[in-house]
Amino acid sequence: MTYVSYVMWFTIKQAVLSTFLTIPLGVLIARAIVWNHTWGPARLCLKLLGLPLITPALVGILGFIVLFGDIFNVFSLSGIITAHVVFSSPFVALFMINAWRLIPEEHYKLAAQLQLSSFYIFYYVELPQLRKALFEVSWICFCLFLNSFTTVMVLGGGPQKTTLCVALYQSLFFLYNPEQGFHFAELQLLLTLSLAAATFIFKALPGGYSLKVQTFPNLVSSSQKPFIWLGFGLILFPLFVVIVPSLSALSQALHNPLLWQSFIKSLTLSLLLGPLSAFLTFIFVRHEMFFGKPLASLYLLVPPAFIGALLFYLSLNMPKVSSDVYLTIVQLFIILPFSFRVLQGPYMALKSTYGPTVASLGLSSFQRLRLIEWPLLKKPLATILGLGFALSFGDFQSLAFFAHPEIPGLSSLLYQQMTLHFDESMGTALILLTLCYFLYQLPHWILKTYDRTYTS
Amino acid sequence: MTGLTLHNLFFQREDFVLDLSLTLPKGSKTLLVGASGAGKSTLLSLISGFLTPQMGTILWRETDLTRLPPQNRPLTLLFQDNNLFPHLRVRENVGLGLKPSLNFNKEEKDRLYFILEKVGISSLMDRYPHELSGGERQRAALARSLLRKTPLLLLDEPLGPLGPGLRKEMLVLLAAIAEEFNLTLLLTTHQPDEAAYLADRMVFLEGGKIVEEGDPTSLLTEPSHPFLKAYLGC
Repeated sequence: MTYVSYVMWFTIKQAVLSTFLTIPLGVLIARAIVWNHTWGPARLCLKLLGLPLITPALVGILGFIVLFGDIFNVFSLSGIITAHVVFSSPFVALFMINAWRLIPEEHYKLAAQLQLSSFYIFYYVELPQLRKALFEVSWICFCLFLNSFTTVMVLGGGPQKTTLCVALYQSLFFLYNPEQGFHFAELQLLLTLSLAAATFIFKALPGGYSLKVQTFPNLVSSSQKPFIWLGFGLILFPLFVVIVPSLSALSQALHNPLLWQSFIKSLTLSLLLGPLSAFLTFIFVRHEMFFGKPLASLYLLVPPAFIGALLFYLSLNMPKVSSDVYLTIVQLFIILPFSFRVLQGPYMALKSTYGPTVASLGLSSFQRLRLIEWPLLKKPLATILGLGFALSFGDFQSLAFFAHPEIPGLSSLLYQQMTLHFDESMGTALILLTLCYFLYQLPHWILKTYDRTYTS
Repeated sequence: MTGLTLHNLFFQREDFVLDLSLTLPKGSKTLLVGASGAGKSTLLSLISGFLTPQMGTILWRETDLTRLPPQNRPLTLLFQDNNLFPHLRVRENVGLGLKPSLNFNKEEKDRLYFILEKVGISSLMDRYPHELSGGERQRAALARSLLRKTPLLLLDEPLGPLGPGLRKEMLVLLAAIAEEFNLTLLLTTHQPDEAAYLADRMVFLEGGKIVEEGDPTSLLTEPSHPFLKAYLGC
């Protein structure tokens, strides 16, 4: 088997295995939360499910290494798959809970009257209604794992454990082999087109939303409660094992002048990217028919590493353009698909509810924004602004391609420290983590939306 | 003979309070009337066990149902919509009233066909819910409740989505079925005049309390309480 075909095989194998393990676990956590939704810990777990999305990937992986490093060899295929399962099952649970909300409450009441067991309730009531969402979330996970960069970069790498994205990056930056890198870029393009074709044929990506959101039925199932504790463990343990030892490493980290320079660089970029991405998202959502589907699918189908490689080739021919420009473009590719998804549902709901009234009043675009959209969309707008801040501040992928060698940016500095000064890296991780959460919440505090759920 | 007894039933949620006592004789057909938010659906949820009262008791004859889970109560609750599972055929939806595995022996199959025949949808048993009219869907739900052999049938605005013709047809069927199977009926509706000839008793609910009850004909023609007068537009 050639190196290229091995990389392709490894890419697909780890994505398939990760998907098959992540989905059942996420569904079990989701079902446990739905069935015990009035129980305090279940409510708290639901609020925390979105937390991994704004946790910097490198910090999560650092926690994963600390947590599992003594139990098994995390720098392996099983390490990559386990990390994918740990970081993605809360997302699957969140996705599935939103699908669960669409099951009519009457069906649960009927099931109770008919004395259906838990198995038959899943079989007759839940599975038929969740099948589409299950397929969708499986496809999303498969695409995400196929394009996995940071996890594979840290836990894999080398010729034996590399995905297409990482192999593309390594060809350019470690092997200095642009020709091979170009070959991988072609393969990545082919893979992207195949995914896009499969998505189009199977209509796999969730394109719609429903206004028919119902409350959860009145269910209780004590036997499922352990899965809620498992959900807590998956979300919080990787963070705790970073936070606790990092407190002692914090003073060492704070004395590093490079940390402050990187901090200022990352913060500046984040403060630029947050409003820019929020503005672009709003514009794109308003013109949903032109940009909607492609933009929402972008991150899944076109990995930022691929965009980074293309821009890297471009930068070789245009050396006068600042690397920060390329950095900004790659980060926009990372942020926009997420923020688009957050704003799209509420905006469409608003449009379908008040659209005819607004149209009949003849409001101008600005009046519509000031009188209708801003007051009613303040919360999701704060969320996308916070997402823009946090995702930009914590991102590693874009920095891997375009970090300045002297002032690398906080995530890139953390990556360097993880291999050279592990203890100091814990302090840097804590700063990164704290700032990400702070930046996410900042717009909610300023705009007084008080969203502490991390679920948008 | 006493059927259902609600004794000092008290339920509070946020700013809504339900506080009432009510007795339904066995085999009676009672119409529960009231404006939106009066507490009709809450009362049915309390009787069927999907809500638990803070005080009071719910008795079916001598059995205390107050703390029993929904599946152990001798009743069936039919809703305005979503009574059928959309992915199951009519015979499967109805058959769930017999056993969840849907593996029927000869005797069970005969009983299933008998009930489908009884409600007039035996020719539709291989169809899916979306292939039925609103009235046919309600007949299928009714058939399932008959299979369960529960003596008390609660209907939460089951005629809501039906047109006038189908409403009348369904009411006639309900009356006949209730008579034949000796069911005790409690039915909520927004159209008391239409449903009145099915019922032998009418209860008017306002703000979680019973403000008037009695014979439907006299209540409809000579309402005494101002709320009922306003509701009927008298």
